[in-house]
Amino acid sequence: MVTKSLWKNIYRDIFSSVSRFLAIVIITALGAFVFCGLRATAPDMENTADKYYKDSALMDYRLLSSVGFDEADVEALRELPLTEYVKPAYRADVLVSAPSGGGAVRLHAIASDAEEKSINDLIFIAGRGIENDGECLIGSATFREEIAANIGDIITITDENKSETLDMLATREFTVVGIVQSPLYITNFLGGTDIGSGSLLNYMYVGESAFDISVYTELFVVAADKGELSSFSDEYKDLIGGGVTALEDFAETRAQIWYDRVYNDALAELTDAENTLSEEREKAYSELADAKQKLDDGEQEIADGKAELEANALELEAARIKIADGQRAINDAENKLAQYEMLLTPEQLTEAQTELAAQKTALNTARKQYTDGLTAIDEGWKKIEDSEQEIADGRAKYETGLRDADIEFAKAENEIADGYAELAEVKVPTWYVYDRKSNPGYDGFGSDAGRINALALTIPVFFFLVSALVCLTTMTRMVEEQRTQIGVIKALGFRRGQIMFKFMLYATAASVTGAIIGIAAGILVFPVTIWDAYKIMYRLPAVELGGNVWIIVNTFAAAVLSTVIPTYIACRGNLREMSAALMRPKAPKIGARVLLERITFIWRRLKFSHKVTARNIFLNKSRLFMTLIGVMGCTALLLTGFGLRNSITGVAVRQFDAINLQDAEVTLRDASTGFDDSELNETLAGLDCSALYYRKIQIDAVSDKVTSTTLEINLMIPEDLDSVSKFIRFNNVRSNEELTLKPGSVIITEKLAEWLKISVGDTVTISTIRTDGGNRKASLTVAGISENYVGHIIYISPETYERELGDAPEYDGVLLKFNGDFERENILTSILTVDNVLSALDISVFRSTVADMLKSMDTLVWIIIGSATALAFVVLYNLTNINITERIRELATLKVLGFYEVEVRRYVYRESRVLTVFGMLLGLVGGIFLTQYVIVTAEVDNIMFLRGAITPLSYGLSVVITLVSAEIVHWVMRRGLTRINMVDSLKSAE
Amino acid sequence: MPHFIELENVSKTYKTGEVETPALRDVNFITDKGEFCVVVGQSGAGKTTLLNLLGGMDTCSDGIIRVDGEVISGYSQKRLTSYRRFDIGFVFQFYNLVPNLTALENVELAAEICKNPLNAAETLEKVGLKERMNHFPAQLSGGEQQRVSIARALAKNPKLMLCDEPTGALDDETGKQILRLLLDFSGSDGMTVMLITHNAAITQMAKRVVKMRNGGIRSVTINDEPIQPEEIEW
Ligand SMILES: Nc1ncnc2c1ncn2[C@@H]1O[C@H](COP(=O)(O)OP(=O)(O)O)[C@@H](O)[C@H]1O
Ligand SMILES: [Mg+2]
Repeated sequence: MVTKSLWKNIYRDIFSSVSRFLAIVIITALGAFVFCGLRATAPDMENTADKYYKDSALMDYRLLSSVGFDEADVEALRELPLTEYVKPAYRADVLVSAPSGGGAVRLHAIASDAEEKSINDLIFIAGRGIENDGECLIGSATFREEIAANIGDIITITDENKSETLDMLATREFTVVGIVQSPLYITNFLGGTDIGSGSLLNYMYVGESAFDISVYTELFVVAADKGELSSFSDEYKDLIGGGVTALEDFAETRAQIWYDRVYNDALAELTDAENTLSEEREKAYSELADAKQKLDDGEQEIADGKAELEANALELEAARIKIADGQRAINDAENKLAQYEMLLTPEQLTEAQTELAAQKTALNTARKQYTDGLTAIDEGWKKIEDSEQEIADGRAKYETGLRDADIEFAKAENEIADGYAELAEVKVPTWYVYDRKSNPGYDGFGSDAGRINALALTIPVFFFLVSALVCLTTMTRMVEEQRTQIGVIKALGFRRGQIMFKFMLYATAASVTGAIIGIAAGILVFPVTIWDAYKIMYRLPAVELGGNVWIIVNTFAAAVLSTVIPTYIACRGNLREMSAALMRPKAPKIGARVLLERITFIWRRLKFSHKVTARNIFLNKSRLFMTLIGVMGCTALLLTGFGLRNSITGVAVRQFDAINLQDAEVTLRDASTGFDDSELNETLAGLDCSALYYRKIQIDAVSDKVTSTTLEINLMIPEDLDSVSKFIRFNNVRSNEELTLKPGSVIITEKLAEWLKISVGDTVTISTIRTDGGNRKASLTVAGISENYVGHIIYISPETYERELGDAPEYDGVLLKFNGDFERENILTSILTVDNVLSALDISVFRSTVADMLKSMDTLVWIIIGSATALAFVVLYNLTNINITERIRELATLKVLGFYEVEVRRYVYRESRVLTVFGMLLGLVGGIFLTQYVIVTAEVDNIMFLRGAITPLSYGLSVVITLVSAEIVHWVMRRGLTRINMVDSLKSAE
Repeated sequence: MPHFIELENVSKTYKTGEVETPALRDVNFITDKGEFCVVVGQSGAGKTTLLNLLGGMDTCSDGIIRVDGEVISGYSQKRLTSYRRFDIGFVFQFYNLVPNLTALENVELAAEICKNPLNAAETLEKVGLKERMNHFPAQLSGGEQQRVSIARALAKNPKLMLCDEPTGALDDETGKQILRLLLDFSGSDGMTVMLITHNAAITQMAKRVVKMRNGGIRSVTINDEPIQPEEIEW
């Protein structure tokens, strides 16, 4: 077993060579720091996000439908075993105006229902919840400043909204009472919409009473059976993947039910209408027929009346004649009487007179009768006339009635026919089933975390490799130094294992110390700094440090094994020798002739000391490799760090100086009048600037090779192809060619092409995003791939857009480029006074936003640079230290021979200088590749870092830092050289 | 006329922590230019210490050391280095060749830094290693290595050659050859040779024999008729 003396021995070894022990500690710590730190970051990020999702009861599924949802749908959904609970809600994308500007926002309202469960809980940044009608909460996540509201602001839903949208709303004016953060929106990019500028600028929560609509427009579902599964685990993804498929089936069933119900209801209604129509038609026409009969009868009566009157008139004429005859007779009688008065007896006279009087009376009566008759006939005629008028009126009425009835029934018939036509048009509605991936930023966050993991698997490899080499050389040296001692111990009867144990324990003590320091620092430093960086993009709570046990354990294992294994290898060879051989000095190595000596014409020209250096370099291979790889790793990592910074900081510069050349961007309120807006055009004409109208639409794009992406892609339609080059430079990076946008094809941006794995001449299939399901698709030839760093854009000519995607583009944006000086404030203010202008933004706003976002990578870069520098120090220190201790005899000899201190230093350091320079050159080459790799791995989705953008300064800095590190180490080590004591060093046999 | 080497009351005490080891006590002694001088004594007598002080590898605690008229005991480290560089040649028991350099290169290494060096190849030829010039130390026998080491010291063209047990690690025959070489070179160009040994037999070939014991000089004898190395009986 290990004896007390052996323990003492180890203890003494450590303290007699503190610097060597520290070298192993530091190199192990560095490796563990970077490895553990980088790898702990992704899980910490994921756990923090996951906890937030769980605490806020983030929905697992989200359902939308082209016709909304009713109670029955909700009930049916609740009954599905895969749903834990369902929350019906309302939503609408609306254009609003706010004190800070205006634009498209998404309005949310959660419907109250029996279930007391919460969903997508909001974090209140300020203010309170909604208590009254007409109050709203607004999102704090505003990337652009248009709708950054304060408490108390009034937000109005403007009249420009579609009438269907306005019809859905009971309230159109809201007072902001709270600023919130919704777990549905974890980035500053809130997603696309089909109104306004095509991008949501914010989101709002309102009370459900703000919606006046009979159906729900959105259903949030929390999945059953998910237990404590992490949102980032494969199990969760599988569960939700299965859930989506099941819900899609369910959606199809429900959609069919809706269709059947709507179709049958409508059909029944139409049949009813048809029946009613025929009944009414019958009734109406028979009534009309009766009326006609009556009119005909009336006419007959009139004719009869007329005949009677005419007959009466004849009779009266006869009576008149009779009366005239009677008068004459009376006159005759009177004459006769007067003639014959004398002749007649009084009696006879009286008798005659009486008779005459009687006759006169009779005549008078007859006369009276006659006049009465005349009057009666006159009246009769009058009556007839009245009746005739009545009949004429009646007939006119009848005619109108008949015509009206014809029209009315024809109309009703048409209506019914229309009803049938409409019925035929009724389609099975579309339900959309989404999971959390549809939440903006949700997927991106996951892949960002994964990206850091990818880095975690590359960069630390250098550290562990170098740490293994450092350990190998250090331990080899140590074993060699202690050869004699080992021999003695062995001769004394210690077993090989016991002796080996000592060295292993030494290495283990060093690496365990290093690993503990490195792991602790890594776990604390990395997640926090990287999270801080990502906080610029993501709206999530503060990171919670988890310290994943598995990561700690395997970092520990990797760190310790990378020192213990080389130690084992170093010991094994030496310890196998017999103890007698061990006690003698190791047979000196035969000096190696290097390849260079064969090339005599160079070798001969070399200075003597250079020859020595050349020899020495190749004398010890493991040290050669340790130094080369160590320095190479250091320089490569430095270059990667600086190169990454160049690529990142270059993004904003290149994008806004060399690609997007506009000074300002104007967004219009009403796209349909945009291009013809005379007020705007007049204002622009007075500004000494060029303008380009354009339309930007968020779309999906796929290729033959890649059938889905999570990217946010925009279709950009410039109105005028001739002047587009003044605003956007289409430049192919590889061929360095200027591209022109021509009708019939599209130009797509570089990273999108990379994602879709397409090159020039291939086909890209684009489809518009419409929440109502009316997507349009078109396959187009890619005519060019253009340089671009921010966002993904497909450029298309207006003609092609119209031909392939149906509508004439409605221009809703204007790019402006000023010929003279661009006096931002004045110009933008004057543009904003135009009614149809929604916003006018100085392009430098985007520029600084992008630059801000990219700063997030800076911390990571500085950590890499710092670690690389530390790596260089440790390696070079170790090399120099070993070089000196190993060759102490040689150096003492040099001193004895009369070499001055400076000559001795030069003699020793030349070797490490040469190795440093070679390692550095290798590192520069390796760094170019490593930079490329790291850039591609570390990129965020919607940004492309500059490729191959390492500046001369970065090369310079990498070189200078490496060389300065080497010289600092040399400077530190000179004391060690001066201290070499000739007498002691040369006293004994080696 | 002053002597080539003069030591006056030289003492040397090593201090290791609290412990003080007196290695030399009040040593007085002279040697003349061109002499072949042998210092003999038991192990631990202080021979090496004496040689190191003379060679400027170490400084004495007390006393005066004068070499060729210069008081080297007061030299700074820098001047001591120059002194070693230009005036001294060393030969060690364990040769101390640079393992990664060939015989020739080992000699060149020393010659390179001197004012009037001898030609390295010729010097090697003189010590009989013409054929083995391009061999590495590990490819040479002990005697051959010691010859290289002598050639290295000679090539510097020193005033004083100091040899610390040069035959200590060699067999008798080889040892004699090495002694012959050293004897041959002593006196040429006025070079003084001082040789240390614990082997009393070697004293027979020396002009001046210094016997040491316990850090002090026991006796100094002048040998008027030194014998040739080949005649030494071990
Ligand atoms: N560096 C040193 N530190 C302490 N003591 C030393 C040192 N070198 C020599 N000594 C001591 O000085 C004495 C003389 O040693 P040394 O001159 O080497 O003797 P010699 O060469 O005659 O065998 C010895 O007792 C030795 O232990
Ligand atoms: Mg000695």
